[in-house]
Amino acid sequence: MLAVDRTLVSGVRDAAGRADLHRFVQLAIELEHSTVPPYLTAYYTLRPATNEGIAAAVRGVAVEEMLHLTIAANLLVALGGRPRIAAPDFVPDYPTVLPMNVGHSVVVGLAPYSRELVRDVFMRIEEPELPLHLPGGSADRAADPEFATIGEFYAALRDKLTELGDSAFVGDPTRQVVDRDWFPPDQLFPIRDVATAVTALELIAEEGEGTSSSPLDREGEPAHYYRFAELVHGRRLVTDPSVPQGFSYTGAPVPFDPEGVWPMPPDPRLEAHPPGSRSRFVAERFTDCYTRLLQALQLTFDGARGGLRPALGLMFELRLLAQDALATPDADGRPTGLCFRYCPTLRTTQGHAPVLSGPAVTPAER
Amino acid sequence: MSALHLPRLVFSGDFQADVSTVNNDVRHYDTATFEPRFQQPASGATRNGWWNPSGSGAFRLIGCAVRSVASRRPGAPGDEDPVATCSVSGSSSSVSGKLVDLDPQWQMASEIWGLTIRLADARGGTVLEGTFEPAPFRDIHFGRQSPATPNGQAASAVYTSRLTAVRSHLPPGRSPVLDDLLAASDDGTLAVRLTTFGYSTNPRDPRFTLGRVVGALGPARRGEPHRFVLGRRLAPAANGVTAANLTFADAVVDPEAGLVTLDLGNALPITDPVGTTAAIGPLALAVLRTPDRPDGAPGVREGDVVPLGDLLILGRIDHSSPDWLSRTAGIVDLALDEPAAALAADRPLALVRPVGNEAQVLLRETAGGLLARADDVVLRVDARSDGAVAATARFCAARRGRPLTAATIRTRLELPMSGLGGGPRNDPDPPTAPIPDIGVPQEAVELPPSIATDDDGRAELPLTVHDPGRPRGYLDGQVYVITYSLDGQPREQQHRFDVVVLHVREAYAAPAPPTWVDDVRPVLVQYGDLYPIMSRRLVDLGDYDAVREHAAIIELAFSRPLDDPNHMPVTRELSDARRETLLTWLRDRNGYGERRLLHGPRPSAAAPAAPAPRAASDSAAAPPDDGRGTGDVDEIGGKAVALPQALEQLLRAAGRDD
Repeated sequence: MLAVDRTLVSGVRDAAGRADLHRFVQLAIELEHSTVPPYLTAYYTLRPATNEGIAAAVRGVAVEEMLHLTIAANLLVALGGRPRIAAPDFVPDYPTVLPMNVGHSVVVGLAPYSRELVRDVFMRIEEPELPLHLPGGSADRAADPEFATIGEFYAALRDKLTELGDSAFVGDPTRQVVDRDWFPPDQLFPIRDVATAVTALELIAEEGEGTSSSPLDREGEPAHYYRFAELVHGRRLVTDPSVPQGFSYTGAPVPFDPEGVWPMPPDPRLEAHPPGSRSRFVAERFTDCYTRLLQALQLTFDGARGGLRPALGLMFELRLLAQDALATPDADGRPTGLCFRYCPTLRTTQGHAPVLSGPAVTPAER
Repeated sequence: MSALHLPRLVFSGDFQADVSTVNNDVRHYDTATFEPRFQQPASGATRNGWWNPSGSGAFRLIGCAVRSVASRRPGAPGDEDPVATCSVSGSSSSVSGKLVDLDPQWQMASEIWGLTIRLADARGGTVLEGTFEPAPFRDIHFGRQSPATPNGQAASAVYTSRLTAVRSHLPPGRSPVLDDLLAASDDGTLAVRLTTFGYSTNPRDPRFTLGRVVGALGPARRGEPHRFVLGRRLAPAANGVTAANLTFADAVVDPEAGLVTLDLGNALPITDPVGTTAAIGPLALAVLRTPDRPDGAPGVREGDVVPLGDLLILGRIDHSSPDWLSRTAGIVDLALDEPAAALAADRPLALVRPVGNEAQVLLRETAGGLLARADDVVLRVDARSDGAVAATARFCAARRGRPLTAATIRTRLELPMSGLGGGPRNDPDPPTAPIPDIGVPQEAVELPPSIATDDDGRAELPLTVHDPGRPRGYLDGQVYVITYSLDGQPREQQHRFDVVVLHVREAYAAPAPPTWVDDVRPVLVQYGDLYPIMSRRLVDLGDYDAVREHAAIIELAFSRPLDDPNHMPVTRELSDARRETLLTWLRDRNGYGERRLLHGPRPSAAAPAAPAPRAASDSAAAPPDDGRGTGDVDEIGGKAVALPQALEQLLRAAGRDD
């Protein structure tokens, strides 16, 4: 579960109407998205056919963050707003503190997978309000009064929507984005009223932090924080009747092979690669594809047909381009980094002044 | 209308063709003899998976920009016209287009699929976009670049097609050029022409899988051919190339507009991958005053030196100015006054090199000004077991750019061809599978020996296609080549690969219910072999559990229309019946809405035995996937092998005539 600046919770509580909530729901979209590039970077830097258990876990969390992004965008549409996704400032300039101060002001960057990254960054991002202390190891931290969790934020949102009532849901119901192929209907469904909105926001909270009594979400999967803890402890979280909490990190090993990680330099920049170099080329292709992904999502939430399908295809192209980049050595012999940026004007050659002409030669000039 | 007409936008830049090369050798389709090394780059003379085994098939326009605008508006269009400074790229919100061969045994009609062409302003905002109607390259000029770049392609080729569903994002009046262009076109279409060259197949080159593209957009009218320019055709006298290394060029004469336009985008020799034209001296477009003879023989031949008085020079070609090809796409507009138009109406056009009081004819219009080309170059046909299937290839014929009526186009189904789609002969460790013949059984395709053009110069070739069965054994269907020639025109004035290619898929009765073992794996494992980028980086298509995990995305990809860039298989070779079988299997759900994904085998004895699991589909046994190979010094492109094979077979077929 993501931690956020407490003033945002009070901002939601103080909202006078649905329009006042647009800003906060847009922030929620940005927040849910802001974790995707770090998680995807960690996932992509795990070489294909290695560290498969870890890759599946990190990918699974990233996919759920994309689901949460979609739910938040649906909520904004339902409240008559327009999600703003295809925009340069939508993508954080990593390394950075995440939107809404998520992660207790931890600076989040784009770095290859490591246990330290998961422990020191990912688990802090996802830290529950009251982490369950489970045997087998703990990386938990004391709660900080300046921060609320995103669970509290979403709870405030639920309360406010309940208070505003169904009349706040003025958005066009046909613009709700659902896609059974990607997310089952009990996870992604149209938000049309208070009841569906509350259910959707509860789902986000549970997938993030589990419940206050269990580390599992409603699908019986460990919440993000505990899934990351499994990777740090190297053991699966399992039910354990021998301990009072009922769960411990004593399940099957989750082996980690550090050789199976592309040692990508952290927080890469396109500009670090000379124009005309192969690394610049492959880095730009990745950035270009990520830009197209954000533009596809923008079109989706602006009402384009096809739902999430265009974005789905782009996620696969993005993965291929990530592998292309990482397999391409830069000038220092290191893997070319993955630059998550929104950059619709990417060019690899300089623009030329156009030649404007009518017929080139007149009869008199022959 | 065409990209040679006005108004015209010319653009240039780079293209990327990240083609997969495992499928360059047809023998790699044999799943029974496939070896893991076929997914690895070439090593010395051993081809393995050739030079780009992890290619994705993506075709991208990169760093392209509008370089010139030609318009009939009085004076030059103002530089405030927003299209003049646009970039040109692919879709802003979908996956990249694809470039794929029709078949491993016919690599001379590779088509671009799913490409959006988009003009964008300096902030990336879309100004105009349209969908590139799938089209194969034509007029391939194999030795265009000399000297050739080491490990690079010396070849050049042209894609002529349409943009459909063209959408302008500018309000009327904002861009006069765009307004004129759209007003001159029908049905939201535009004509498009892409000439590609300078392609690098060297994995160590920073420009690996990149080449140069020069392109043009022009008006398009309904009823016109889409995949060639119906106009005047300049053609080498023999062998597709002249002594000065020039090849085919198209031109249009438009007396009403007072213009003659010549497209030299593919025709002139170049000296480097950027497209610097070779020093072949001053060039001019001329009308030969000497008419061709009544029997069609040329009055003045290619290579002849004639007095200047025998020519009407229409204008000089500025081909040696810096960056000429990229600025103009090789397309030259020359003014045409009434006397010139009258002469050009029935005399040959020629590209000449003036020398003193004389000029040498370097390239001239076809004898008699004849042109006949198929607009349907590639036909995909699914055969049926319960009867024949009809297909049609459309043709147009013209004389000096005007429709040629009641002309006879001779058509012929070529005899079986052998040895196509194998690797180079010097491979010390070639695949062990046999190379199938194409064109057998011949009885599967019936066609009339000739067709006649109508009043508009159009003709349709009716084809009757029967089930060929599975003559190639380890890969579906069969390839048939149909050659054609216009009565009265020497065959050598046609490009050798101006043929119609049929890709016929065997009749297939979908089993019920399909199972993984019996029906699905045999298809998917072949794609897994041929596209390691899929099997090793995304989903191992030969692995039931992996396919189960990714069933939703696989279903999506296999259910997309052929022209969707997400379509699987990327090669677009799967028959509808086989595709339906895969989709039926993927979509079958139990009472809880869960996918069944029946594993099988079916209990019936008739089911084919499942191929034994092999190391190739076992990712643990495969060498580490570190991406690109290192390449090697004698690396060669796929077309470099496929072209001589296809040419040899076609020439052998032509020889049977003589």
